[in-house]
Amino acid sequence: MTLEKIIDSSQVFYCVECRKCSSICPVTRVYGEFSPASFVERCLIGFHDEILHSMDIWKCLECGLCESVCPSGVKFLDFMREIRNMAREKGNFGIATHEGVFESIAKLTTKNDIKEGWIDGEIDETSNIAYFVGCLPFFDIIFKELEINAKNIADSTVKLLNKYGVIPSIIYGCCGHDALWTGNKELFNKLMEKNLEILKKKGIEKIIFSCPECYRTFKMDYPEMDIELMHISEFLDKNMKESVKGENEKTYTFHDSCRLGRHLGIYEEPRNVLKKIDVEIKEMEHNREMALCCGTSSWMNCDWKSEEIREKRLEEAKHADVLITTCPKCKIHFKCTLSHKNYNLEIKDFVEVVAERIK
Amino acid sequence: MKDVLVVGGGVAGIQAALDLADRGIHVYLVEKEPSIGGRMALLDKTMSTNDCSICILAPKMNECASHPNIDILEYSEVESVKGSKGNFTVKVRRKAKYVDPTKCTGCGECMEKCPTEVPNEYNSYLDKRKAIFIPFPQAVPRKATIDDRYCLKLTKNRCGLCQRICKAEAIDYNQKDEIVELNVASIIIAIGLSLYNPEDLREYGYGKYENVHTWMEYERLINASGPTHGHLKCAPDGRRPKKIAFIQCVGSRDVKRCQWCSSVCCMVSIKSAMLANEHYPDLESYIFYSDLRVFSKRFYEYSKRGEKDYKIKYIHARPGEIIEDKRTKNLIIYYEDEEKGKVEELEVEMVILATPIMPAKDVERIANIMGIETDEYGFIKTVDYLKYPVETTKPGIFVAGCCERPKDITESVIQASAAAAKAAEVAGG
Repeated sequence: MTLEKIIDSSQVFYCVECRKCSSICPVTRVYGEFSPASFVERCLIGFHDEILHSMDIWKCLECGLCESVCPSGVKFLDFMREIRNMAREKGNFGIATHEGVFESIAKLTTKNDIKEGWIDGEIDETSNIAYFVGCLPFFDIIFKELEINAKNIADSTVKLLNKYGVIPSIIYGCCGHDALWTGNKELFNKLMEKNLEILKKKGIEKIIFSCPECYRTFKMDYPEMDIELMHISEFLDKNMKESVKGENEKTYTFHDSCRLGRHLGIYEEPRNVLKKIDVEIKEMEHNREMALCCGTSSWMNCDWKSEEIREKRLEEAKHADVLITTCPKCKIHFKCTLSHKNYNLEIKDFVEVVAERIK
Repeated sequence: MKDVLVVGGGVAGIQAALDLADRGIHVYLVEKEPSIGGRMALLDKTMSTNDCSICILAPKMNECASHPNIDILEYSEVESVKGSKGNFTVKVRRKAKYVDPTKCTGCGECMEKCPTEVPNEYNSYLDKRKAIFIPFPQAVPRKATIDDRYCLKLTKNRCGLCQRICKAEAIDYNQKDEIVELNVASIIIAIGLSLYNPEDLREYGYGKYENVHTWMEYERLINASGPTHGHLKCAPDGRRPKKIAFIQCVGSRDVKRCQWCSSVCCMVSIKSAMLANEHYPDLESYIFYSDLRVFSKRFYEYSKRGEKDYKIKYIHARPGEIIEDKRTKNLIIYYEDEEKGKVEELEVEMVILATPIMPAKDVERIANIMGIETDEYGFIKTVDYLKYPVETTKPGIFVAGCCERPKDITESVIQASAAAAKAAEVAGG
């Protein structure tokens, strides 16, 4: 693909240079010199080489705020993703966080099946309803000191599925999200093919996700399949008929992850479920479509500026005791900041909160 | 010579009716509100001369009322249209006003005493009116109307105060809607516009931040007969602002919302900023624009005059977001400075959003009744923009004003006169 084609397919030439994107971009706020509008402008003028060799392209969080406010319908996320793909071909790989361990893991999972039997709960490997666990098992190992408790996310999800009549089969492994967004299409394709093969072999008709990134990738980046895809919050919103009373000595707030929120447009389902279990949400200044990103994505480019973005978000949550998110990576990033900054805040995954209340 | 029907009593409908009536053609002017006047009656000043809007319109409204060739059917809606060019049979519902217009003197005492307060659509919902009401002081006809959605007597059979105090004995709770049948040779549609509700542009906080208003709300705020009697006041303490900002293209020129340019907003905002400065000479304004579309005669000069004499600063940017200072309720606008290439913050006390003109709310209903087409945006379609700019897709039915496309008062009046000429041709005048 040439840059001209990328410009064409992502409708970048529709840009009217109003610069609305730049003035809402969380990255521009902290870095200053990075700006979606100037990116587009430079690209349209023809500084293609400069862009492809720039480290700036790895700063974008693909959080989608720019796209959601763009009056011209520029598909900035597609644009950035394709540019990264081209940049990678030219040897510009960016700086991966955690010494690139996640890319190595993704590569490994293209071949090996992993961690069977990691989850507690009722599981039926012959079931045609699957729970796609994604990379959760690795998080507990790599972020041991942060006490992410990823196992609890998976266990809670299965517990809730069991509670509402589903005994799922389990699919582990990487969906390819990070490979795709860091421009590594080759790896993404391998992972996708492997996952599609598993689905076929198991005869899967429905997949439930707890991770918004996996859900987005299956729904928007995999070819269209005749399989029902659902986030656990959608599943619960549909199947939970009862209301559960609980003790509310804590104040809760809800962090919309970029993938489940702006990418997939799911805002109300998790809130509905939390309402049913009597968890009252005190919203942050930026919520739903306007939610702020946790500061790092696709395991790229984490530095003290990312930390600044993260802290902005945590400042908004100061009124709460517990911040609930649906994304395990948001949890990791926030917990990382909490480990060395003084915030009186607990970070919990959505399913953990729900499972705790449901007997 | 046959009669003509004009649907909509805004400035376009009024102009068309007067033109026809002066030619000796009898006109029915149907208006859904209790008073004619439309949007222009609610504007404070007109651009580019800063003349008082109602002062220009009121004489025309009164001329309509007193013209022997014009029948105003206020508080009425067209229900059905049959027939074709030269011979239309139109059924009009005259909604019950529960007030005998031959007796009501328009004294307004009932309005003072009525205990039921309801949201006031004539002041952009910024204050309350009563369930029995005269829409605005210069209303034509200046007669009271009871809103049957809210009146205690009509909804719960309680109260009845207005009937007891009305010295003219004009109140009649038993009044019923009436259907009148009209026979007309041609029809002019001038049903006006609606305005975009910018709540879904959450980045600007309309509906959430008290000091963010739409331009129509601002027209009422700066208007002497508006809810604040023309004083600009900011939450939380009612102080008057020293710095205000206007954001252009809020919902317009937007692929997800209104794709069209609303065409009047740039001039409206310049005018509004001038008025603010006229009220308070130390007040500064900022206009955030996408392109400053000041395209007509003397418009560009007007924008320059704003810069020179009225402390207006033009900034080329669409702001990304507005954040409210929780304590002062001041608004911090984030925008990227084009020259510096840097995101800047600007703190102001009030923000006015230039929301676009959209097709009238009941345009689809009217189009269905009339058997005419609308365009891809929902405005009423003309046969050919260049050759037949007032002809709808059905012969004998013509269009004028903002229901055809966004336009300013001058253009509405021009189109109204053109439509009147065409309608007169059919009526044989």
